[in-house]
Amino acid sequence: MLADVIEFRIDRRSGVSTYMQIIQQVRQAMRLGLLNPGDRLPSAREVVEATAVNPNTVLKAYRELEREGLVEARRGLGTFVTKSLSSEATTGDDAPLRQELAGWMGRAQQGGLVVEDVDALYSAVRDEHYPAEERS
Amino acid sequence: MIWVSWRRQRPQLITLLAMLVVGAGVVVLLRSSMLDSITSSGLTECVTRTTQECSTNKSAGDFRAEWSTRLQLGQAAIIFLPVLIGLFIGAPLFARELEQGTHVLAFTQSVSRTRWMLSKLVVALVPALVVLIALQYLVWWWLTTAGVMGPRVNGSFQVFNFGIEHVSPVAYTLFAFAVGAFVGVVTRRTLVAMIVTLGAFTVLRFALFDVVTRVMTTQREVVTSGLSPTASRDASLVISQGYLDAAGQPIAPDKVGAAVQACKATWTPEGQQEYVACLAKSDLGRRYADFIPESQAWQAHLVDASIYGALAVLLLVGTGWALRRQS
Amino acid sequence: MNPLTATAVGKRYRSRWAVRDCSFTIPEGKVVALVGPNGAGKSTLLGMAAGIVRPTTGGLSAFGTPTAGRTHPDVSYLGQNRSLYHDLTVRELTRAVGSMNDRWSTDRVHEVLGLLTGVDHDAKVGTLSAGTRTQVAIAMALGRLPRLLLLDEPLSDLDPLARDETLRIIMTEVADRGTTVVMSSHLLTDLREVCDHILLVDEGRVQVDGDIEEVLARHRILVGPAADESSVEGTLVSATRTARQSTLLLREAAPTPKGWEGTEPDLESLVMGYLRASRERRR
Repeated sequence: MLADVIEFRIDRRSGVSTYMQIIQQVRQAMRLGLLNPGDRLPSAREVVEATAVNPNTVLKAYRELEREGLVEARRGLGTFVTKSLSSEATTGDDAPLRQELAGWMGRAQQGGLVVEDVDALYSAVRDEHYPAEERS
Repeated sequence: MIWVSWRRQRPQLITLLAMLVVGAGVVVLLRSSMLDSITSSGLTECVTRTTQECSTNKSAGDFRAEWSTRLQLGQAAIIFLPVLIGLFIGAPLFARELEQGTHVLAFTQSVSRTRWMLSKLVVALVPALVVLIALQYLVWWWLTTAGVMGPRVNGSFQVFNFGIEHVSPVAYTLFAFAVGAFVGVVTRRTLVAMIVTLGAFTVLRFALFDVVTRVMTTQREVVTSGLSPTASRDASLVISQGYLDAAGQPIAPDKVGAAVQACKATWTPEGQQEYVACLAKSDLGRRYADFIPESQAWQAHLVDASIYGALAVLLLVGTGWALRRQS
Repeated sequence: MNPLTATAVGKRYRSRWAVRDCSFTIPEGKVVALVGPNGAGKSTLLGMAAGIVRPTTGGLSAFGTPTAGRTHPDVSYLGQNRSLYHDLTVRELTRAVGSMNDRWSTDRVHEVLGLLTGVDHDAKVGTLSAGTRTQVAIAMALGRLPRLLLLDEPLSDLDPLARDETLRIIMTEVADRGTTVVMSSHLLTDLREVCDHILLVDEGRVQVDGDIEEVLARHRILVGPAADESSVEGTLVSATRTARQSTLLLREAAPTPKGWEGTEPDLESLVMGYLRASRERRR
């Protein structure tokens, strides 16, 4: 058995459905290199034991990920990651882009910006570069 | 399933057991104390025979004064035990479950409602009957020790004697229990079931009081006027008595009354020939008594028991039906 | 064979209809939220499904067998008053319920009770807190190894921790055995996250029935000028209107007309819309 690599954190007050939260968290973990090809996703039962969500929802989210070609269900074994979404740029604490962002964040803090200021700046710049209609 | 019923019925079963132990202890003690009293007063003879000496003897009188109330209390215990069993075991048996909603637990498991009912019935009823029969025989044993100095002198057909002998107490218990169970299921209220059981049992016991005498075939004893039939003197149960006409038909009481009134003048304490002759002249030559001899008391008990038993069975079938309809 | 099918089922208590002319089907493996205000007929519906309440009209069938008068062997039921023998200990109760069943797993009961915090097996059931009693009752229901689990207000008397524990147990059951679950609650928030199918009842009638995603996709909320609703097409469920603005909940809506803003409703606003509509019909 492979050790579980990730654990889902379902935020019930976020307004985002459990189904979407699972999909987003898997994608996120794959981008950050926490999930790599060959890794097994936690089984529905393991998710349920940890977070008390509907196992049907977990399986439905996995099916969506499978449809996207990110994971693959193997009968009796579980669901495995088949694709890599991580790149040099996003993986690890010492990735260059991350280092740059960390530097920027440090300066913002020194400059006396509170977290709302940082969020506002970040989303404004993000939306300039990635218009909303182009995102999925 | 039996285990569940037993476990749930445990407090009542323990109470029954305690009743048996206490009851048996009391009867055994009383009997041995009574036996001492009989022996020490030299009344051993009087237990089996009613002699002139026994009825006038002072120590026999003292004995009766001392023991008759206690013996009657013993009888009363067996008279009331059936209705108590009906009240405190029969009535709450299903009513309490329905009242508290615990029947839903059993009804939503795979055991059928009928089997659930039967197992509860058996576990509640059988021990109650065993205790009843045991106490009944203990009391009978005690009463027998007093013999004709006790209530037994009145014979098997006397109301209290009849009520505590043979299968009658068992039948009354079955009936009281079944009334309690049935009313409990129908009303779903323990208290209501208890009250109705008490009422129904009392009313029926009075209402069915003489049914036995009407159902059973009787014997007829005929004697000449002036003598009284032996049946009206021994412990037989006399159903009816009076005078017969020449055709052998009973004469209507008002005619008898008129004739007896007419002949009354001829009656003297010394001799009755004239009186009897007068009666014979008015066509009242023969007296009769329709009776059931004491030796057939067991048949009367069987008739009695089958009436109450049949009612009990009907009520229990009704209980089963009501439980299946329960929703 | 569907775990539960209702065909025009109705139940009348004296002169009042608690449930009236309800028809629906619950597909296998679903976790169904049976929601509606207090007195909507949820308990009566579940009672009829469990075979302890006799329908006045129509009927329900579990796995193809009519339920009237008898609980289907594959169905477990948790009633609103929890129906346990209070004078028995938890251990004795397990034995008692086990002995009333042909198919029974004491191990399953122990497993479930083991997941709960602080259930003393030697404590009398009557001395347990209401919440713990509910959990014990759920453990008993699972001991029957059901394929359909009917739970009447399973979370109503639980504190947040026990609520989480209990949902976890029910969801694990779904994950392990594919059990179909019908849970009732008058609070939608209790069930929002764990259910994938909704059965909304009010006034004894089914108002909404279906997979939550599909039900939501079938509906639109339109916000627009109060002056002109003529361009709006679809079945109007309910509406709230101010002098200038109308907010409409529509079923099977046509594309959003000009001047209106259309969004897919969330479950709360959908349920509120239907309940408001049934309130207005009653008035």
